[in-house]
Amino acid sequence: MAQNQTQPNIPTFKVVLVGDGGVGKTTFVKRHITGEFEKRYMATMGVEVHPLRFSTNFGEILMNVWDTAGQEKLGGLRDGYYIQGDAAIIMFDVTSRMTYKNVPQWHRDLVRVCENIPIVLCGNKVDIKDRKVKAKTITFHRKKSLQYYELSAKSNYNFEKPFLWIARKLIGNPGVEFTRALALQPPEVIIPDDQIAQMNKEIEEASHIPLPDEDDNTDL
Amino acid sequence: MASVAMNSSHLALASTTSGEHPNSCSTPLAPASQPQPTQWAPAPEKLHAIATLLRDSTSAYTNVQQQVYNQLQKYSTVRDFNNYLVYILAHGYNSPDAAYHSVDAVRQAAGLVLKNNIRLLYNSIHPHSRQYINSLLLAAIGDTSYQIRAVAATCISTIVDSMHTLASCSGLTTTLIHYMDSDRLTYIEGALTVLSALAEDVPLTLNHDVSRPLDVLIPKLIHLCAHPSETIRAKSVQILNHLLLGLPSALRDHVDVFIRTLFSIADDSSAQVRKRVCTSICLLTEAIPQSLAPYLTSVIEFMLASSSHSDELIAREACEFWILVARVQGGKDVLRSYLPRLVPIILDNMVYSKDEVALYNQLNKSDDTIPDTDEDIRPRFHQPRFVASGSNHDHPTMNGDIHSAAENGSQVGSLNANGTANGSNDSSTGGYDSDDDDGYESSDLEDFRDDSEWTLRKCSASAIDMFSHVFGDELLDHLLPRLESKVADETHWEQRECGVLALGAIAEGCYQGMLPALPRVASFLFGLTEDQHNMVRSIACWTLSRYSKWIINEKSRFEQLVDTLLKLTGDSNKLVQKAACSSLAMLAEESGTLIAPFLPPILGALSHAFSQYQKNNLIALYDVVCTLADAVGTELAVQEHMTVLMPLLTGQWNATSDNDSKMLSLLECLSHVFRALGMSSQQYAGNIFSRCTSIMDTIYNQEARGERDDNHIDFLTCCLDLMCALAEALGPNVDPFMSNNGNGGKPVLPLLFAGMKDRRQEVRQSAFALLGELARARTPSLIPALTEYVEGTVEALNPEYMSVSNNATWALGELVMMAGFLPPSVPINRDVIQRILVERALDSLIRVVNTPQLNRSLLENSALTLGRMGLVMSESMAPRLGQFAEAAFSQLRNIRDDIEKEQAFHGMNAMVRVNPTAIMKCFGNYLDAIGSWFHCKPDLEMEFASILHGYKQSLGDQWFSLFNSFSSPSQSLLKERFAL
Repeated sequence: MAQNQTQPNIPTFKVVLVGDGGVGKTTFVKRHITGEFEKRYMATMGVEVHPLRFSTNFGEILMNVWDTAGQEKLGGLRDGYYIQGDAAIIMFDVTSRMTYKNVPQWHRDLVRVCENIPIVLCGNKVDIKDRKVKAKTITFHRKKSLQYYELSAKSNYNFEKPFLWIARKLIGNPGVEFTRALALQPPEVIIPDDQIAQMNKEIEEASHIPLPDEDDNTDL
Repeated sequence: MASVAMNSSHLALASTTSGEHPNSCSTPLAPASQPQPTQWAPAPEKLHAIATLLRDSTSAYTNVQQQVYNQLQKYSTVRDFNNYLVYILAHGYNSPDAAYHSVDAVRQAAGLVLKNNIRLLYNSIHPHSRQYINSLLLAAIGDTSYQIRAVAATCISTIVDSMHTLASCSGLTTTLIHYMDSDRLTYIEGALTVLSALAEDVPLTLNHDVSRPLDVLIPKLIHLCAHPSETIRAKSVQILNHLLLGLPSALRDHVDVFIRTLFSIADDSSAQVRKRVCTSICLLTEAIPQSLAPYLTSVIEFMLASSSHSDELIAREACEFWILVARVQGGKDVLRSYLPRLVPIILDNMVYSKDEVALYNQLNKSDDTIPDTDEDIRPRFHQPRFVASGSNHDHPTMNGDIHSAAENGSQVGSLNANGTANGSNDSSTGGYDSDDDDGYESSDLEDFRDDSEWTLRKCSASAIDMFSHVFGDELLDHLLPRLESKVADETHWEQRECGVLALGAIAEGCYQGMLPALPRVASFLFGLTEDQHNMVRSIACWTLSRYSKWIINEKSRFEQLVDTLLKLTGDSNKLVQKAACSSLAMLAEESGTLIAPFLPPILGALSHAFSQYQKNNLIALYDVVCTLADAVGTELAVQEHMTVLMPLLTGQWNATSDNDSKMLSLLECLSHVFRALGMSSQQYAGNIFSRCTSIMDTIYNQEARGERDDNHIDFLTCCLDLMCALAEALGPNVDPFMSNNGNGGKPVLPLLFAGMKDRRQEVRQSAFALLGELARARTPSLIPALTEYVEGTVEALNPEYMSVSNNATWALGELVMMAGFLPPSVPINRDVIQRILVERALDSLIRVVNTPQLNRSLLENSALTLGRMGLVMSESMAPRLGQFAEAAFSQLRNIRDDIEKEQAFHGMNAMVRVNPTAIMKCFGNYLDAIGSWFHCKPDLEMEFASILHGYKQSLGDQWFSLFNSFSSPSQSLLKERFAL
């Protein structure tokens, strides 16, 4: 598509990120260093697209992650954003039963628009205690054969796993590995408001510098 | 909107043309009942604008998307917007501009926006417009593009959903029938897509609609299950599977044809179809098992073949069947004769797949010196302290779990379960209980926790687990010979591993039958803990601990197991280290104090491990310490053990900084240790109180400056819980630590008070646990502000926050006892406290205790607190006795004998004395509650006797008719215990 963010010779995929409002979709996707990050919860309006680049043993790939609004009233095109999606991530908050209950609805909407795409289910905020989603209720992914990961945006736990799984499915080879450690936001940095602008600028600059060349495969 | 021009050429386009328009659908089968499209046509410039907007919505640039978003808000107020949308959906938009080349995406977007509008406000769309939408949607069902059919189907389903009747989409059923009878694949597929959406979105409407659509549609669907097109077969079976969940009568009526049709496609060339046939049979087994009875032999043969199918998805779906059959009444007898064939299949399915074998071969190495990255570490959960009524509840602990073992060697045993159900707190009393006590389901825990899908291996392992419970020892005849050959397979570690997993899986179900074989099995398993492959060493640990109930009765084997596990905690492979830690924790749980004699070698090994382990396994190690402390209790408070353990923990304590997340595990671990140590904790208490109060103080100061952080909540609750554990351990001796502990410590009580008022319920929950513990210790430091504590506690009696309210209710009972029994010389504001209790606490407590659907622990705590309030102020309480006596008695009878129950009964008796008529309506409950005492203290027994005799005397002749109305246990209670 003329309007898509593509780069010459880099395979580009559209990855749709859905889930109820406030489950941490935006925080999750912004953990990647090429994105800007936010300290406070600001509801996403419509959609924000974040291009994430991954180096794999099969070459570079680009995932345009469509971070869609979870809140009903800010939904914009809602499932209209799923069109031509190549893969999807459904996220819920393990501390909020309601957000889990809505997973089948998100799943249903997704498969209606994109029939056979790889979909991964992610439970976020695993580091918050008193998990209100009781274990037994997490059976949805079992019946639907969804890949499931538990995440913590706060400690970066499992951050790269959903992307790696998606990359393997999209490239069609289970041997795909990320060849460089993902540059992740350091967990839980507290930044005074007045420094945010400055840091944004620095990160903007940093994003033009190649990723650190470290052969650290954290997947195994 | 300027033009609503009547343009007949567009009109024609909408209803009849086919082929003129490359992307348009055709409607050759428009049935008679279908309404004629309303006279409407788009204005070209608007059409262009809207199509452009939709095109832009596929852009991957956020700034473009922001414009689209704003633009869309504007358009949503444009009259006829939905007409344009459905027009574009049905006909597309052809423009000379090449940028529109992906017209399908634009059409899809139009349909989805339309769908969203339908969902939000279908009712407010003008009837003419609705009619137009209706007719174009029906036409689009048969579009040549799958995406367009799917979007049209979703729109139709959304209309039916918002109007709750099929009639809202006029002509729908007729169109579906026509299309299903058609010989054009796209029509059939279109109809099936609509039906599939309806079955998912509005199953009830489909089932109960007055037009009874399923009577016609279900036979057609069954017919299509045998259609030559694979897509159509797969889709039809899928829809029927979906409908099966609601069991429509039309499906019951045709179930026989359905089953025979399923057989006709059982050998389908399509894996998808075959898998769905397996699903159908599973669903039928659950929903209408008798329907399969005539075909049972064939069904089982088919499922046997499918269970060993080379396609893992088919095999997995088929394996679910065995779990279901085993649970159906009579299923056991059916399965019995097939066990010789079935067991080998299931066992083979439990072997790691080729890919997994390759993966684990890579991991079979020494890696204990490779540091864990932070991303590898699964955050731990600390659960705030939750006080069950008294200390009465068994705290169910999850033992080793089949799925967890099937997961992989690193996920063995109770450690998994501890991650969520761990510790001092029984998560099942945390308010979400009651629905998860089904032993076979509890292992879904592992699905939740692990980043891996439901595999054939796991499904098969739970089938074996299920069989061991259903068949018991009988299973062994079929299983053991197979296992022997598996575990003896020298060349394939995955075969040995599978054999060991199966041995562990049956440990509970076949316990009796395994007993004679266990000596040999145990020796063998011990041998395998030295296997060359780490996965085998891991699983051997797990399986051995599954048999710990038996092992702990044999001193030499117990010793050998401890030795073995300790040796493996020093394994060079991290997975094995972790498995050994988990198994050690499981063993400690099972053995309780019996493990105490082994404390010296265990602590020795732990101290080595503390110095060697990487981050991830350190957390496992803390878990072992917690479990061990719980298991041995006061036995830990021996100088010999403390001199090893405490320096270890102190070392960690000093080396861990205040805001390190490892601190949380350490704080939690110390809570367990101090509870075990009791009074011996005293020498550490000063330091602990200093550090906890200083951490809390720092956090509250940060928050006062507006610096909030998600993990504050963890630190606050962990600190409160650790202080709570110390208060429990020290009892009355905790008082000196309330004020000044040096080392930058702060006074405890202001922080406690802040915790009680905290906005986060988890913090309040822990704060009230600490307050209750301090009140129980009758801590004099509480006295000056006792009124404020009572008042703060009463304010927290809101069952909406169950856990907070539970702890506050308990704390209130302790505060009441403290206030009530302080010597009169102690200056507290007794009148004010009493007024707060009667005027503000009583109503809440009565409401809660009379709401039986609330959490059990909360109900019991409420009953206890009501009773205890009666003890200290019977005169003020007695007039309300009739409002809670029955409910309170029914709760009190469930509580085991202890001091709190005793005080509550004294209180209930005191109120009964003041207001004896209040319990006439629930006298039977009173007797039941009295009957719940096993060892009643003499003074309480005397009270009961004198009250009961009092009733007999004052009732005179009426007593006998009352007596006859009692249950026979109550009658014999009265006769035997009270000579009445």
